Amino acid sequence: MRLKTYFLLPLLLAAMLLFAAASVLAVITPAGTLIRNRSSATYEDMAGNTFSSTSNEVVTVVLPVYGVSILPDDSGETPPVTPAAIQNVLPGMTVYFRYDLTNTGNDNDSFSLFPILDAANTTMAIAASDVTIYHDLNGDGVVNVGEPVVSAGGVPGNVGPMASGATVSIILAYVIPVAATAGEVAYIGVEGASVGDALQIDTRNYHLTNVVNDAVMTANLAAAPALVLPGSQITYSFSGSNLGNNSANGVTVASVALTGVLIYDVIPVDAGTGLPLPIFGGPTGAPAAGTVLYLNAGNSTAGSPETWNWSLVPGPDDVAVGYITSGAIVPAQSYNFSYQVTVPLGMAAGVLGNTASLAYIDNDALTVDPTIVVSNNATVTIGTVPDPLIGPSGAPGAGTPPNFDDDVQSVAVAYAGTSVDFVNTIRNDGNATDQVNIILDGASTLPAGWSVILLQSDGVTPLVDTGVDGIPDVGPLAPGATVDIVVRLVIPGSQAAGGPFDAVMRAQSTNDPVVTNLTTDRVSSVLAASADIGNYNGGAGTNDASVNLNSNPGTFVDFPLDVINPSAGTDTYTLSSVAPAGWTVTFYEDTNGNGVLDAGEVVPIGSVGPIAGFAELNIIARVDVPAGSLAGVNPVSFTATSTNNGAASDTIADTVTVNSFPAVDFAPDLSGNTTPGGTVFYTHTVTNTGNIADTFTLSYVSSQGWTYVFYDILNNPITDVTLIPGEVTTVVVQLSVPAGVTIGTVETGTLTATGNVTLVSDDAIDTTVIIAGVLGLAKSVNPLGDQPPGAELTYTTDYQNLGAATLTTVVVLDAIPAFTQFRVGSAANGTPPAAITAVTPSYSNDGGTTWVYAPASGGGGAPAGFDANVTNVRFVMTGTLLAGDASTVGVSFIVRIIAE
Amino acid sequence: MGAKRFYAVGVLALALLVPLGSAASDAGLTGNLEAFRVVISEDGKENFLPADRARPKDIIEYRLTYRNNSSDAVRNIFITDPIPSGAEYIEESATRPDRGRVEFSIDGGRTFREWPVVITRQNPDGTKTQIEATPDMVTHIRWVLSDTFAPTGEITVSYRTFVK
Repeated sequence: MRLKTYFLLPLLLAAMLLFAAASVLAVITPAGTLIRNRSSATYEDMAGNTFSSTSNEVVTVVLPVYGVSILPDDSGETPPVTPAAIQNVLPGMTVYFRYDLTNTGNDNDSFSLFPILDAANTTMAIAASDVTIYHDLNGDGVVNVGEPVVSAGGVPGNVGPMASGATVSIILAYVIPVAATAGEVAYIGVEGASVGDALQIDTRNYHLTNVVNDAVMTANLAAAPALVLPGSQITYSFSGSNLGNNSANGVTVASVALTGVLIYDVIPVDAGTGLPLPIFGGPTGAPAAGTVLYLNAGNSTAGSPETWNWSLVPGPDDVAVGYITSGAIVPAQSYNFSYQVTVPLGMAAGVLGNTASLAYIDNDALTVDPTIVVSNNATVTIGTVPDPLIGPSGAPGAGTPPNFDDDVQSVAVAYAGTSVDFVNTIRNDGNATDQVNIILDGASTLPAGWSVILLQSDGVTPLVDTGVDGIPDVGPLAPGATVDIVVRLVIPGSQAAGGPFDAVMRAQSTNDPVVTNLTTDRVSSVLAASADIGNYNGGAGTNDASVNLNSNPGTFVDFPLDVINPSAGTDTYTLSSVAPAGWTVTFYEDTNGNGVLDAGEVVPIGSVGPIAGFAELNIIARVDVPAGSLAGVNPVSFTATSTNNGAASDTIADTVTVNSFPAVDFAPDLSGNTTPGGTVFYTHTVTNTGNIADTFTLSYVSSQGWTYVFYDILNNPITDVTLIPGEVTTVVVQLSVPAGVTIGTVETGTLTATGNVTLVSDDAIDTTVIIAGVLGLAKSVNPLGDQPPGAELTYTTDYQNLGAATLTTVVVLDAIPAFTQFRVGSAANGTPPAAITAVTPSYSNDGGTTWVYAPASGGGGAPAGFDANVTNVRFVMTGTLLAGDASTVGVSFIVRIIAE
Repeated sequence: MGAKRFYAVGVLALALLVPLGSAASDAGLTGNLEAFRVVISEDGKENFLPADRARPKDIIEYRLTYRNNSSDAVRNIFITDPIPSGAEYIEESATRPDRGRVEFSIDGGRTFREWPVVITRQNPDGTKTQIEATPDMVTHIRWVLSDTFAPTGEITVSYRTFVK
């Protein structure tokens, strides 16, 4: 419950101060003031994230307005029931009437003044042109040497220029005609008009001058010094004399049982407290033998002053102070009364006025008694004591006396790339409204890259300069009032870990810029931007354990990964990788976070983000394993590096195990012919297309039981080849045909390479036709050279009998090359020699075993016009091929390179 | 009861720090502020003139239009405007939203209450008096909107001041 009291009191105090502020601020806005307005909004999206927005700023320039006030006023009747002032005079005397003129406009202005006279009610032989108006420069109510004439002879004259709100004293002086007689009166006033706006006029202000044959008491109040600071004293000196021709007789103050002329002053009040300024020291008066009187606190000042409850004893908060003479003041006798008051600490700056009075009884039984004579209004200026304080939220006065500069509020930890808001409270402990500037002091220790944003208490609206010095301020702050601001420290994403970092904020009075106060907003420690990458775990956080994926050579594996921003500031991460030479790693964003690279996600990325603080995104690292990669475990690693802080990165180390992948290729399949007892050579290649080195044994199966012998490229007989992965070697095989073999025999040799260790194998098939003579065949293709898929190739076989015997039953056999399709109807007989009477093409769809197949368009799934089923074409010649005969144009057919 | 309420608010107001990263800015809700000088013609009609210049005692109407420019709905909208320095709020001039409320601060935006705002004042003799705040004490106005704003949804609220 103690807390309750603690918080309640400041609020009550604040409420009280606001009332004080309202009265102080009720002043006209100066011309040229910029009224600035900017609104703000906070809102949420449907996910509950909070955002803010500020509007544009609108600015209104305050234009000048003009006004004038002359006090005291009369009561308005003609003649006025209550004149502005009344003086009794003797003929031939000079009278002085004091007025105060105030510039009530909002801009500098001068004022035209001239005297006016109520001729209808003035019985004295005097005119307005007889009145001289003086500017009472020192405000002491007396025309001093050197104080200027404003108006003479009734001609208007100017005072000014005067600042808005400023007040000057003027004195109207004129000589009473010597011939005037008691009972004559004059009603004389003053009119003032604004020079800035001639329609702004204050007129009348009629005072009354009575010609008497009696006492004439003057009353002049002086206040010194003109400028006084709280804590110092004002000395009031009230003086005058009896310029009349009869005595000013005493009044009887019943409360103290004394009779004399009562000289008194209702003490000026401190508007902030409502209390009279305290009397300092002992008042003194003359003529001697008088008595100092005090009107103690709580007593009324209503009614005639001799009826007040005066006391001989001073008390706290005395309302009035006086001096009662011992008896009458006779003609030519002077009086004075002097006392001091102390300006309370904290009293608002401004002009403090005061009038004193005296009460006496004249010698005319027909007039109302007592006669009250009121002095001029003596003013002093309460000087400005600036005292802005700034401190932690709710504690503007924090810190060590006398400077209160060492107060600190701290945030223990903040992240790079974020901002920290400090609330600072500013209080005006000075005695005048102050536009307290807020300045980032040079003692701050914020590194380069930080920024400081000053905001109003709503945390959204920027703090701007409401004055003219270009420095942001809190706006006019009444004495005692407080205001909160938000100091936002924006920490750059690149900030390295460290601290503390101080924003030293200086509150500076604009009333006196030398007067300032400091507070420190401290970030004790900054955590730098950082990175976290790991293997996909399907949820929050990540899996930092190494993951292995198996892969065959020539394919790829996908590593799903999590990239986490472990700091609070939004960050983007660049991605990099380390993999074996020749491997490639490509990153993709796994936008749906399912750990799989989906069709819509195949867009390579080099970085991922922005990732909000503490949030996670998923990526896929696709690792391409080249063909021929050796079996074994290969390290791969993936790294995410913060762009906020390039020194911050994280790496996940994984592995790819390349599978054992044995493979061999024995190619191509070939065909040829020879005569009985002849030999034929076929040249092949054996390739280790796997990733394991091996020795491949060469073997064969002959359909006729014949013998094949393997040779290397240097013609050395071999039985095996040893190949590392990817290695290719040439193998030549020789078929020896026994003598006496039946002409037309077809030999099919199946050649096999078999890995000794891996046991993988591949075959090449050579087809050999045994012929009688020596039938020379020359095969050509058109067009020559590399051709694209879809190209059509025409194979033409020219034939000639190279032997001495006539060849009968000549058959030209050809196989459809791999990856090609036969064009239906393309078999052409060419131009045979004359002894060949007919050429008949026929087709096999089973590698030459049978020759009854009829090609058909689209056969075997080939495009229209082709037949993929055709494996072999043969041309059977009817007639004989005589020795030396040759085809003029060979037989031919067309194939198409498969494009599908 | 008034004192208790203030106590609770006081605790919040004195909290040392606002949360880290509590509000991010985006272009979702955008605000446009306009100012008009209200001049009443001889026939009693109100005319709205530009308020780039004004004299003391002139009436200025501020109109705040907030629009949802994002492609998503937004909600829990609080629109706040500090009464500008040099201006004084005119009582009853703040428009009331159809769904929501308008609130006033007399303490620089620390706390907001619907009108009338009641203050507990401590007298010199230690006793306390509850009084209602006057319009000149208003430092901030806040509109608390209950509606969810679809994309392109907008609202205009307004209030008037006079130049001090």
